[in-house]
Amino acid sequence: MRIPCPFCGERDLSEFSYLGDAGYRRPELGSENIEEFYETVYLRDNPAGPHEELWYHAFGCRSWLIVTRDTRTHEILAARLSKQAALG
Amino acid sequence: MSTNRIAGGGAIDRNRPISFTFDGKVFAGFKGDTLASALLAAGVRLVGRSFKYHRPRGILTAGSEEPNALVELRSGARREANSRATVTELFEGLEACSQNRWPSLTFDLGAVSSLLAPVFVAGFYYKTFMWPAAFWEKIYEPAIRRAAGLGRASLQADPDTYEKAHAFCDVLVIGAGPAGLAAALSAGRSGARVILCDEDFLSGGRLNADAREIDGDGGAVWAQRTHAELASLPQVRLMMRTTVFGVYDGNTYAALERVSDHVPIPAPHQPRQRFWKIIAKRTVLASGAIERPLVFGGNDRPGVMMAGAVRTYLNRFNVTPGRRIALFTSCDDGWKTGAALAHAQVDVAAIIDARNDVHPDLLAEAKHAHTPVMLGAQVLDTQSARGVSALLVRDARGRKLRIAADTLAMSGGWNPNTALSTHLGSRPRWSEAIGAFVPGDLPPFMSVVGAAAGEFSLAGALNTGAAAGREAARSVGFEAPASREWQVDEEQSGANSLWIGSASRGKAFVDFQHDVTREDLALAAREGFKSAEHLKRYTTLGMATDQGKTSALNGHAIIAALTQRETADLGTIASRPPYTPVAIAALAGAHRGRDFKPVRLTAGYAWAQARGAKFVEAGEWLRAQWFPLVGETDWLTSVVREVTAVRTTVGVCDVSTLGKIDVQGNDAAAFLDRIYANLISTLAVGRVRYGLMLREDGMVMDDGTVARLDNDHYIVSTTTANAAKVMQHLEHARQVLWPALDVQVASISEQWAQYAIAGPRSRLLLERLLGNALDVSNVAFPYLACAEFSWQGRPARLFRISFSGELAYELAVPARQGEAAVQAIMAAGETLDVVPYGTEALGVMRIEKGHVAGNELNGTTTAADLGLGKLLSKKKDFIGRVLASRPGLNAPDRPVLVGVTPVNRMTRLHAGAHFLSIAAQPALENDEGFLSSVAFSPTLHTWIGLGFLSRGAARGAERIRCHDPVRSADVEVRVTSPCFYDPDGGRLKS
Amino acid sequence: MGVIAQVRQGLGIAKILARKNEAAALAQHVQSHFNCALPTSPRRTCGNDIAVMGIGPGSWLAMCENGGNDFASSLKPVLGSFAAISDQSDAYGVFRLMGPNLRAVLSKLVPIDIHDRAFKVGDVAETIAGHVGILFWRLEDIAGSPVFDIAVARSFSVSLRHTLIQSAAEFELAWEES
Repeated sequence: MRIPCPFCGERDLSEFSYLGDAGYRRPELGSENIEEFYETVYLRDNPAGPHEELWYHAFGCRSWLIVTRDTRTHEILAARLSKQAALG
Repeated sequence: MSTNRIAGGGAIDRNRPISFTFDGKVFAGFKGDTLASALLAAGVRLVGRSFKYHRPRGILTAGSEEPNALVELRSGARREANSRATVTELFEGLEACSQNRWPSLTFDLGAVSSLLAPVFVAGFYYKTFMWPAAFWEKIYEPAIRRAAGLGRASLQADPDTYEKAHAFCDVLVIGAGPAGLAAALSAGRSGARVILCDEDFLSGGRLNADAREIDGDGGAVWAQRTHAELASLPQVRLMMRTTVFGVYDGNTYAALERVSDHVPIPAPHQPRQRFWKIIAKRTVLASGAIERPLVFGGNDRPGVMMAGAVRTYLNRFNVTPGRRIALFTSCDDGWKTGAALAHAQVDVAAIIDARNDVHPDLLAEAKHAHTPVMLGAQVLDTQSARGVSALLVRDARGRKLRIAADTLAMSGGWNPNTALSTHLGSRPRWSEAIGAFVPGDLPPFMSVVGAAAGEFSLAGALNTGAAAGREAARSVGFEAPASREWQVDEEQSGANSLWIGSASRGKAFVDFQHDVTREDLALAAREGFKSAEHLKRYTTLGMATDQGKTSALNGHAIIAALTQRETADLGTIASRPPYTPVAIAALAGAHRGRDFKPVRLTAGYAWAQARGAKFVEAGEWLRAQWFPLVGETDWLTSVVREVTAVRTTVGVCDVSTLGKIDVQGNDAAAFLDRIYANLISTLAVGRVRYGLMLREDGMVMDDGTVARLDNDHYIVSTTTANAAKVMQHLEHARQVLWPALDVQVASISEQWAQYAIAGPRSRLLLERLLGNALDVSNVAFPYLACAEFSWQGRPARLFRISFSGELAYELAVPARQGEAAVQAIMAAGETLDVVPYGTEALGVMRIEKGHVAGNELNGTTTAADLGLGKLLSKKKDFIGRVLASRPGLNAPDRPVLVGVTPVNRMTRLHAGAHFLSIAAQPALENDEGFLSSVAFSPTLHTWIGLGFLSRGAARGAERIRCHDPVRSADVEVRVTSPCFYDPDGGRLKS
Repeated sequence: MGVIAQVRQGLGIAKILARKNEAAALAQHVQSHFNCALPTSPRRTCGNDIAVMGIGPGSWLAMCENGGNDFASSLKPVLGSFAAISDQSDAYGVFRLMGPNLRAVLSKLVPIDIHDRAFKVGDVAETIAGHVGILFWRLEDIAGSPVFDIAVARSFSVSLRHTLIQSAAEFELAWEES
């Protein structure tokens, strides 16, 4: 599999490490909602089809990426910088 | 000796004779021969014994699909089993041996297993040896292993080297037959970067096997001319002897280049094989087709050979496999072999075609050559044990005839070689038009041409190839110049329909390599195994090293017929990488033995080495474990001395491997407050604090120190093992969790060499070392102080922190100065009796102090488990705070960190032992925790240990047992505080 | 000689990480002080006594021949308001590689397309070479042969050097100690 890093260009899978569902949203700072934390940490989506995932370009520019991958075909549909995506 | 070599202009060099041995006997061949062609030329027909039944086997094919002619090559450490003679390039002195026979190839005691054939029926793995269970390991398995199987491993270290390499191209063409050559040529002429791979050592594919004409020249001549043009194009890389064996996501292809398999031993600095990872923007698959055997009695006897292979041996190698050859076919292509034999003036005993009607041109040609023809006929059996001598044939009227022949060429038509089209999961699609499966959905950016696409005509191969090569190049921005079409000699599109036969006498083999017969399939069908995948696993059809290249379709067609279905509906199996067997060594490349993984060395490595240090692997690092003095023969003596020195004088230890991260920014303090469980923002500039980091699930992730160099500038340290993980964690926090914060993190682990200077005399040592560079008095530089300063004209950092429990410092210098710095430390401490100490002494002292390390920070422990619960700040949010409060993680009976000492102080403790109450039976339900770290404490003159004990906080002074069934130890211990030494910390602050 | 290798000594190396919302100001100051255009992609640009490589979003590695540890500290007064500066002069072993067979050798090491068309003079890539993270960049050709620098974490430099020697053995490798 090859991932098109927005900074480095297309790179081999071995340069990246995988975290999972990019829908990960840590509850607001100071939240005491244990259920919400439980869902954030343990309950992740794993759909068959296009899926937004977090990948870390560990052996490249050290960016965290939001990669849209079709889990059925491993086709990479998009990749963007997580930081940029969050800041808009 | 060359009894079967004939005249002709094939691809062998008769001026370059080669001698080789087979089973110890010397033979001769020529440059350009394969082992198979040279053996056939010498009249050798029996080359191996089969997997299950030890039946005599000969050479079936002329390619990598060969199921039978597996041999051992070379000798000694280079001996390699299961090599296909049909793709083994002959070289001077080649040693080959038949395999799976005992005591000799011609007289094999194991052949008796043919008589026990009922034992080896389909599914025998699953049902024959079920009872009694104890018999399996001692009797059944060894017996089967001796009887069934293939060649022998050398059992010696492989003396050759292997390497890996990467290649990138615009267009990858797989296969250098007519279609592949045409594709590579049109893509190459466009200026695109082209890679052309072929597993053969000669390009041309079937052009070398069939007497064809292109533009008035022989096909083989055209192939060499095209090869030469491709070689002249600067952007084209020709990779012969290179098998593309796997297709992976992201246009990634795996290929094996056999760099040196065609020479006795690799040339200096040359690997035996090179494993290529090829990234191609576009791919043209031109992998050709594989001929289908026919399924009839005795179809596995030496002398039965694929009809297409017979033409390859005739035309490419100028070898006739026999003197009187019969032909059994169910398709038009088989007749070409009759014509080729007749042309070579080899006696054709008969052309036996299962069909009742064939094209009149075929009949006319046979008649012209005076070849007897039998239509609507079938071969029922072959005769003779070690090679065909005659056939039993049933003619169209049901009469049985015996035909004398020493060779039987068979053809059931051709299967497009779809293997690489299926590696990403798509299934081949049935084509009624050609009676075979063709590639289904192709991997992205791949096209398929020529016979691999079911286009069996030469003109079609050339045209589809050229068009696909041109289109592939165009789609990545390269335009090929216009070129005219090639003119080829007249050809008919022959019928290729699938025919599976029905009647046979004797064993009719479907899968030669795994000895699966038509009867096995029938049994499987009767027992209800009807899907292609179930069939494969139950009968082992197609599960041998050849992955069923010659057998799968016949097997599936037979099952379809037995279960009254269409082959199209039954489908076929997807093949998986590797296309042909690949040595594990090739996948490992250079990463073997000492080079298995890279090694990290600290700046002080050479110094430690010169001091005679014993090193230990700590992750990728090599760290000094202890420094034996002359006369010290066991590690404990050295470690006891090192610990004692640190506790009484001063020691120095290389701690450069700890992770060091530079954190800056206006929000650095706020950021670190969220990262660490304890409060960081209140740390004063010039001070250091212990920091504990949790994962979001509440477990401890890592610990270390945080030093504040400036309001917006911190240096954090991590454990050696977690350095990269913590860096990733911090990047995640700043990029994903809180991207709005102004914080920058940079690893500075490699920049600084760092040395712990520990012991009552450490301040004295530093005063001598640093002179006026820094005031290290207790007032100016108290416990947990830090400073940046200039020393010997370079930046330096000093931290007053202690892992040993003594008055201690860590001095950081730029790594290039590391070796000089440690030497300077030793020199400054010479009269203070300074000693270097290693990780072993470091470990003893941290256990004496009750400091947790990797054994305790194991991913399943909470801060409370480690006795660090009071560190969790209640004044701020931090990662892991909420989930650490879960009731289960705060249950009163959770094992928590305790110390233990054996009641008999000299009784050795073992980490991993389990805690039991004094009277408890050693059973899981009585388990109360485990011992995580142990050491002999020279300070306390006793063995000590740290561990996790259920309700441990409330069990001070209780006696329990450390039960270690693995080492048969059961030691009575006393529970203590985890801190064995200087619990008030007075020595730290002295 | 198919490949010539040199160890680069005395380099001053600094990591420059842009502070929040200061990337533009940083670029401006790098331009005005060093006459160097701060690259926003994996490229290497040169200025007065300085070369700067883009190694990530908002992240650069600056190098100065013979700059030593003073280089990073000299950047702080100039750029410190706009970027976090860390001295990395000792963090890398840097090899200069050249020669007609260099690409064949590098193809055994790096999973990056280093063909003349794909990897131009001034291009930079950070990647993994046989389990070791490396940063490399292409310099102007010399006598028609390619020239690359490879930087590797100092602790791995012995390992990488060993790998280079192995990979280049078939072409003959000359180490020039400087």
